Amino acid sequence: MTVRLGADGIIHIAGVCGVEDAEPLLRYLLAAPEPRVDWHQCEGAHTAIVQLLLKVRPAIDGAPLGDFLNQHIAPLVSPRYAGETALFKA
Amino acid sequence: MNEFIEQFLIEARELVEQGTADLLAAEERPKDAAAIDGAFRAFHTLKGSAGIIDFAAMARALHVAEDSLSEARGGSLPITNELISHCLSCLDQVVQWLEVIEQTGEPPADADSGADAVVALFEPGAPTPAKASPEVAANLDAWLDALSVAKPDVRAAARSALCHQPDEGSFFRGDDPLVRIRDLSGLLAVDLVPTGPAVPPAEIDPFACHLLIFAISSEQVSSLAPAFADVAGQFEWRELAGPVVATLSPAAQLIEAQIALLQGPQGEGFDGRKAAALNTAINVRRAEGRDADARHIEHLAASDAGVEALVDTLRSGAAAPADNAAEEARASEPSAQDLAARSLRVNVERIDALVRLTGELTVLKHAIGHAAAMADRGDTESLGTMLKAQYGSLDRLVSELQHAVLNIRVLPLRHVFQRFPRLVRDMSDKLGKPMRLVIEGEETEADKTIVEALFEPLLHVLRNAADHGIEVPGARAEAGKPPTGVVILRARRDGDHLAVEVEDDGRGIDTARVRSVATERGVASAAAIAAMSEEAAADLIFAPGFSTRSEVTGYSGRGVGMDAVRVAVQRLGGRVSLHSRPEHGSLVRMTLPFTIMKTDVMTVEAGGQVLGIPLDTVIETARIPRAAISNIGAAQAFTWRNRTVPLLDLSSAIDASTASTSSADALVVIVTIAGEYCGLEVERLGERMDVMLRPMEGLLAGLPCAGTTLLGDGRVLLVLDLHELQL
Amino acid sequence: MADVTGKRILVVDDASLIRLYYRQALEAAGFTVEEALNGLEAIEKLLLEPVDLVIVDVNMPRMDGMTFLKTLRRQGSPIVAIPALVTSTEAAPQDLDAARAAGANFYLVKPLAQDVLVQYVRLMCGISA
Repeated sequence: MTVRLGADGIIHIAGVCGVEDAEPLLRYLLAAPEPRVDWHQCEGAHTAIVQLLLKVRPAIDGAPLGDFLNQHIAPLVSPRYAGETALFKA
Repeated sequence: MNEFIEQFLIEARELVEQGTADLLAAEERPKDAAAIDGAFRAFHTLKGSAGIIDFAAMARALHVAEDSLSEARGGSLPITNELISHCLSCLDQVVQWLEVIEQTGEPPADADSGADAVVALFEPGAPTPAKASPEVAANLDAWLDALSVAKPDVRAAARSALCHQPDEGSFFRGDDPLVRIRDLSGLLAVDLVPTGPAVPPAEIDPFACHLLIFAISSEQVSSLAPAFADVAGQFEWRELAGPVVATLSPAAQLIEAQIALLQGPQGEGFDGRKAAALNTAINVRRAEGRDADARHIEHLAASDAGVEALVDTLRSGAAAPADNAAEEARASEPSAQDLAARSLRVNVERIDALVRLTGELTVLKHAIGHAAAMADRGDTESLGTMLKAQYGSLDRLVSELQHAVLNIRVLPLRHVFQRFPRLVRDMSDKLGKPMRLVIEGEETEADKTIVEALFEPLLHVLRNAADHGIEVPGARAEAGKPPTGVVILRARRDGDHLAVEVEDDGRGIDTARVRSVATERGVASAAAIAAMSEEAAADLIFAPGFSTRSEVTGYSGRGVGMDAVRVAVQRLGGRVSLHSRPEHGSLVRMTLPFTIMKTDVMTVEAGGQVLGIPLDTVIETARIPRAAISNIGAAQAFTWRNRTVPLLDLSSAIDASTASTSSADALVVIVTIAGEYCGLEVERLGERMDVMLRPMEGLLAGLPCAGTTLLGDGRVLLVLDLHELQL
Repeated sequence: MADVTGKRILVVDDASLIRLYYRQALEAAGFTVEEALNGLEAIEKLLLEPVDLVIVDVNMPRMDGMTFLKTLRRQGSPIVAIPALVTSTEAAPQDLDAARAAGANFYLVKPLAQDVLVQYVRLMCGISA
């Protein structure tokens, strides 16, 4: 299971997440009053996954494993990287 | 039209011509480094020119061709027929754009598809990017601006930028847009912006893609775009300028560059580079108002200080005062001036000749003023001699001036000849007949009007030679000829005339076939055709109505035949003749006046009107007794040197209401029109004059006249065009 | 001292459009502009009369910009130390390095806005704002 709701209420994203993981992820995000995602085990995520993180903006724990995610996507989805969110609002 | 645009058009046309010539030369002689070099340079310079007038699409199209030519020049790409064809197609597109610019005064706004087509020729793998909506493009600009502020170092390293809006349904199609971005080579930065209506999380559709993806890379667009060939959605690519040190002021950039120069290898020429670097640094410091620093560098330079000491001095006080030069320069920027004018490139020597003549005319003016003063005083003793001498000088000056002015309008035939190698190459491809065009005498000069008017007739003749003259390779082999047919396009001065010839080594004119076609088409009566000499029969191809339509091919036989050639050349005051040697080839020769503006005429009076007859058509003048004139039906004729010559009463030809006078003898000017003799009856003979003709305009345009000129007494002289007279 | 009057610039480029473009910009800023169509012609002109700055294209017939710069930097005083600005459509780092190795004092990428050109030229000629 690449997307899983832990006993602690934290949503864990791990491995390589495909487009099919978007639906369970959205369900978990909607179910939690203050959703929290831990993706330190995540090697790769489909655009659909990244898009959900951007739109729902849950709290994000950990730096993802995948280089591309870590270097280029994590700064965009994680509020922890204050000041480094999207440069430009459409 | 804007001055740059005007200059751009002149230069671009020249470059297209030069590029075409060099490409064809490179194709013929792939080992000729000068040819491929020349072609490369033409494309390169054209690209630069396109940049100056801000015509990005043209620069883009030329860029891909230039890249290939650069590889060909370096030897890493073979010079193939295909490569040359693609480069020629690129130039074709450029010419189309030039025409639009010529008409509208600015680069066409919709040039992208044309540029895409050219790019696709050179990079078959490259996609023709879907046109991005203006919002996507504007978003990219805004994003790049924001990036320059937030991360100037990243922006400076980038060579390309992308804004990609994936199709809403792209997830369903199995696309993962971010994977494409992840795999971009040279990826420097990514940004994602959700789009679409803001909805509460509960209403989010996880499978609809609503994203704008921005990315920049250190690679060029051309190497990145192919990876997105199969992705649905909108793309806006942007080439970014090379590495810029955006954070430094221009002065600081210049100082850094001098430091780099000083720290460079100390090999040959280092002393010169060092001196130039210090000189530049001193100037920059002065420009900044830091004269003390400038003197310090001067002092060090004179004391032969080491590189390290120099670099330290240049680095010191890196915090330069704010640089206002840019603002000032912008404020004082001159507004572009519209200097519209038709332009003609003229050799400087010819202008100098005009300037010299102007000077001489001024001197003469003073001399005549002096003579007038003498006449005023009644001092007429030597006045006649003086005026005569001055008249002589004026006569000479006017004739030189005429000559000089005409010379300005003179062009070498190269201007028209250089278009043909390309066209013959196309004909050769299309007809499947290997052919080589040899050009001789292209530097021969003639009046601009003639040179420019020769294109159409020459094109016809060349097509005819390619179609009907040159045989297919099999037939050539049977005839014992080399497989490649040769067509020679030749120009030379022939006394007062210009001779332009097209010669081929094909099968010659098949006169039997020409006779049968001419008979079939009713060009002349069967008996007349049968009785014709071989030469006259071959000449039938110029007859109106003759067109070998049974042999219609891709090129000749499109509606107009060789008769159009004869008409066009006659309109220029020239003649066309044909010489054919069966099995050996044929030669079409056009004999043209060197200039059509200056004409020797003989003036006559007829019907109360002064008329000019071109002197080159006049054989002689004669008094013919009325008794010797016989009536043949409604027409008249007389016998002259054992020939029967038709007689035309010029006064009734000009104005039918004028009755001809019945003096005892008829005053007749015998002329030759298209090889036939004809007598023109006039009332009075005038004098011989050398006149500059002005073309007929307005109401006069319909008259059978070659042009007009003003006479000394203010009357207008009509110069007859005898070919147009109804005999 | 920092007066534009009398400052002479030699523009070396085979493209007449570029020469015209630079000439217009520089003359409007008060410079005197000389032109040469290639490196060889430029060297000849400089030997007759030095200038305050040369602006050089890279790709030219007969003698290209790099050869011109190398030749210039081996001449004697006063022309050896004339500041040289290279303008080229090529923007790759290796093109810049090659120009520097040949003796260019600065490198600008074409196409170039007239105000930018004037700004750098003024600095390289020692003219204060």
